Amino acid sequence: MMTKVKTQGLVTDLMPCIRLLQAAGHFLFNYHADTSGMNMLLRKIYSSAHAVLIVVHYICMGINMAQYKDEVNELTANTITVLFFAHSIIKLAFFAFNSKSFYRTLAVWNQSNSHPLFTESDARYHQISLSKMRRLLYFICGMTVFSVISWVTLTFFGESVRMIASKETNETLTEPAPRLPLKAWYPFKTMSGGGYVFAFIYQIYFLLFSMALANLLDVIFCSWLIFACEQLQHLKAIMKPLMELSAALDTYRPNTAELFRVSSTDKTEKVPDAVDMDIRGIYSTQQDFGMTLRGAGGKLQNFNAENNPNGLTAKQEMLARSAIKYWVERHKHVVRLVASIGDTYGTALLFHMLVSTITLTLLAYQATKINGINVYAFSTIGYLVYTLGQVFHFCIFGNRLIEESSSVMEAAYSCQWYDGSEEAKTFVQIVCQQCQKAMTISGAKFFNVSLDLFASVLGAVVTYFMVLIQLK
Amino acid sequence: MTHTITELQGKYWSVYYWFEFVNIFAAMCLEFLGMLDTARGGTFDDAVKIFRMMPCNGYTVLSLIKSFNMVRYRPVYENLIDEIGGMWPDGAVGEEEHKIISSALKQINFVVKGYYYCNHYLLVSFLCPPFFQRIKGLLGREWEMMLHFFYWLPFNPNQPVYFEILLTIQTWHAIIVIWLNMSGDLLFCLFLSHITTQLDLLSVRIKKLVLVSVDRQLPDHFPLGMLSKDTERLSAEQEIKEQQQELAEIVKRHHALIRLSKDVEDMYSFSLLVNFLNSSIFICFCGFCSVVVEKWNETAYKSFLVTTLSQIWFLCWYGQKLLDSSEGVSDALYKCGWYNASKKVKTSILIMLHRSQKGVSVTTFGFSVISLASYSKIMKTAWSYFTLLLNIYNK
Repeated sequence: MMTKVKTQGLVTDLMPCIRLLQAAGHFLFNYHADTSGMNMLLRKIYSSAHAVLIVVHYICMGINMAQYKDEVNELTANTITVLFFAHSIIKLAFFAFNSKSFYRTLAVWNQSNSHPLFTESDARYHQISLSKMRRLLYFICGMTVFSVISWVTLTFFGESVRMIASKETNETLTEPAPRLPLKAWYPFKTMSGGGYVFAFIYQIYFLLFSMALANLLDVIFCSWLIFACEQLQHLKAIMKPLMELSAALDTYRPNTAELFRVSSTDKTEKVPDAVDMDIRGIYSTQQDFGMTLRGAGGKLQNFNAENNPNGLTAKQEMLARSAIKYWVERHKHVVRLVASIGDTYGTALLFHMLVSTITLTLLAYQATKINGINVYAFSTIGYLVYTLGQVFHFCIFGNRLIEESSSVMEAAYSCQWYDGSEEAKTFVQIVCQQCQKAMTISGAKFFNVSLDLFASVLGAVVTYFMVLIQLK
Repeated sequence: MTHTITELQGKYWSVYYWFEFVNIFAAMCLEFLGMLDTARGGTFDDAVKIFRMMPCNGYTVLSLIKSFNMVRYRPVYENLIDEIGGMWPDGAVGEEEHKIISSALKQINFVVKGYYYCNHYLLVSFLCPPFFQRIKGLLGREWEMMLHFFYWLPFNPNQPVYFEILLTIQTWHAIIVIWLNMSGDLLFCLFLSHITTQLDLLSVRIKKLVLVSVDRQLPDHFPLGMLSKDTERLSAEQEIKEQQQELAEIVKRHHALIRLSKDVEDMYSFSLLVNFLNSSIFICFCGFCSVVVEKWNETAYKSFLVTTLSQIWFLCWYGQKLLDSSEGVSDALYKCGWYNASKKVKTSILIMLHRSQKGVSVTTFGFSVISLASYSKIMKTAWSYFTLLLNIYNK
C-alpha cells in the first residue's frame, strides 16, 4: 500500500499533473512516498524504457524520411511529421537535463507568508487557481486523446499509398504502403499479418505517449502561470481593504480636549511590542478597529466611544503596517515565482518556437496543394490546427500574466489612496512605479510570450500561404 | 596603456599607428577599386568574386573606425579602465558577491581566450594557402600564384619580385586588420562585463540596505527574512542615519556606472552600426556562397559565416547583460525592505526606481539597442535576404 507522500505548496496543487508526467515516462523521480532503492530503480527503468521505445520509433520515421528523400511530396510530408514529433523528444530530453530547475520552481511556493485579515481572500483565490488548473489538465488530456483517436480514424479512410514520381514517364505513380497512422521504416514486413498488427499497436502507443509527453509539460508551465495570475488577483483584491485600513489612521481628527486627557484605558490592554509583530493577540473583534472591511465604500471612521482612540490608533497603525508588509512580501514572492518559471521553461519555449516556425512554413506550402475535401485536406488542416493550438496554449497564459501584472498598478490607483496615511501613499507610489513594468516570460530573452507572438506567427503563416498561392 | 612610457616613445607609437592607418586606408581603396573593376565584368563568377572581396573590405573599414576611436579618445579609455578598476571591492567580500564576481570573471576569461584563439586560427588558415603555394614553387613543383586580396594595381602583380613583396605587405595588412578588430571587440566586451559586474554588486548592496524583522508576514526563509534574521539591529535613529548615508553612496555609484556606460556607448556606437550592417550583408552572402558556390566539404565560407555569427553574438550577449543588470537594480530596489524605512529613504528609493527601470543600454548610433532581441532580428533579416538571393539565383 503506497503511503501518501507529504507535499506542500505547488506540488500538492499539481499532483495529478505530476503523476501523469511520471506515467507518461518523463524522468521525474521525486514526490514519491516510497523512495527505497528497488522502487526507484523500477521507476528509472520504466522511464528509460519509454524513452528508448519513443526514440527508436522516431529514428524509424527518420530512416523512412531518408529513404524517400528524392520525392518532393513525400519529403515534405515526412519532414512535417518528423518535426511534429521532434517536440516530444526535445521536451523529454529538456526535462531530463533540467529536472533540478523544475523541482526548484515547484518548491518556490512551499511556504508562504500570511496575515490574519487576508487568509480568507488567500484561500478563495487559491481555490480558484486549483479549479482552473484542473480544468486545463482535463481539457488538454481530452484534446490529446481526441487527436490520437481522430488520427487513427483518418488512417482508415482514403488510399494508403505513396506518391512516387516515375522518372521515365514523369508522372506520379502510386506505390502501395501499409495502412498505418505514421509512415516509418520497420525491419519486418508490415503490409499484413502479425507485423502489421504489431506496427499498428506500436504506432498508437507512440502517438499517445509522445503527444502526452509534450502536452503535459506545457500544462505544467501554464498551471504555474495560472497560479501566479490568481495570486496577483488576490493582491489586487486586498488592496482596497488595506487602503481603508490605513485611511482610518489619517482621517482621524482628534477631539483636542481628548489629547490632553490622561488616558483612562485599562492597563490590561495589550500594547503591541514594536519588534514582535504577532498581531493575532492584539485585536479580538471586528469592533476593535472600528470599521467594516468589506462594506461598500467603507466607513472611514467609526470609533466606539468608550475605547480610547489613541490606543486603537497604535494598534491600527501596527495592523496597517503589517498589512503593507504582507502585501509587499507576497508580491515579491510572486515575482520570484515568475522569475523561476522563466528560467526553467524559457529555453524549452525557444526550441518549441523554432521547430514550430519551420513546421508551419512547410504546412503553408502543403496547404496550397489541397484540392478538395479528402484525407489530405483533413490531415494538413489537422496538423495546422494542432501546431497553432500548441503555440496558442502558452501564448494565451503568458499574455494573461502580462495583463494581470500590469493591472496591479490600476488597482493600486483605483483604491482610496487619497484618504490614506502618508505611509500608504508612499506605498502606493512605489507599487505603482514597480508594477508599470509587466512581468513577462521570455523565451531565453529572444522573444516575449504573449498574444503578439501568436499573432506574428499566424500572420507569417498566412502571408506565406498567400504568396505561394499567387506563385502557383 | 597601463604601463608608463616616455613621451618620445609615445610619439613613436603614434607615428607607427598613423603609418599603419595610412596603409590600411590605401589597402581599402585599392580593394574597392578592384571590386569596381570586377563588377564591370557582370558575370556570375564576377559576382562571386565580389562576394569574396566584400567581407575583407568590410573588415578593413571596421578596423579603421575602431582603432581611430581608441587613439583619438585615449583619455576616455584610460579613465574607463582606471575608474572601473577603482570600484572593485578590497579585502573580503560576502558569499553572494563572491559568486557574482567569480562567475563573471570566469565567463569573460573564457570569452576573451576563445575569441583570441579563434581569430588567430582564422588568420592562420586564411593566410597559409598562398605561402604553401609559394613554397611548392620554391621546391620546384607546379604552383599557383595567388594573393590574399584583389587589389587594383597599376602594374601586373604576377612578376617574380613584385609578387613576393606584395604577398608580404598583404599578409601584414591582414594581420593588422584582424588584430585591430579583435582588440576593439575584446575591449568592448571587457568594459561591459566589468560594468555589469559592478551593477550586480550594487544590487546586492541595495538589497542589504534596510533590515526588516522576521514574523509571519516575512518568514525567515524569504530572502529578506534570511538577510534580516541574524543581523544585529542598531537603534532606530542610528539605523536611519546609516541608511541615508549608504543610500547616498549607492546613488553616487549608480551615477558613475551610468556615466561609464554612456562613455562606452559614445566610443563604440558608430563602429557597432557599421559592424552590424556589414555582418547582416556578410551573413546572407556567405550563406549564399556556402550553399551555392562551395561544395559541402569545403570550409572557407562556412568558417567565415560561423565567425561573423559568433562575433555579433558576443556583442549582443554583453549588450543584453548590461540591459539586464541595469534593470536588476530596479528589482533590487523593490526587493529591499523599503516599507520599513523612513519617509526620506522611501522617496529616494522611488526616485532611483524611476531611473533604473529605464535600463542602460548600448545602441548602434541610435538605430537599435544591442540585445539578444536585435540579434534575432538580424538573423531574420539575413535569412529573408538569403532566401531572396536563392530564389533569384534559381531563376
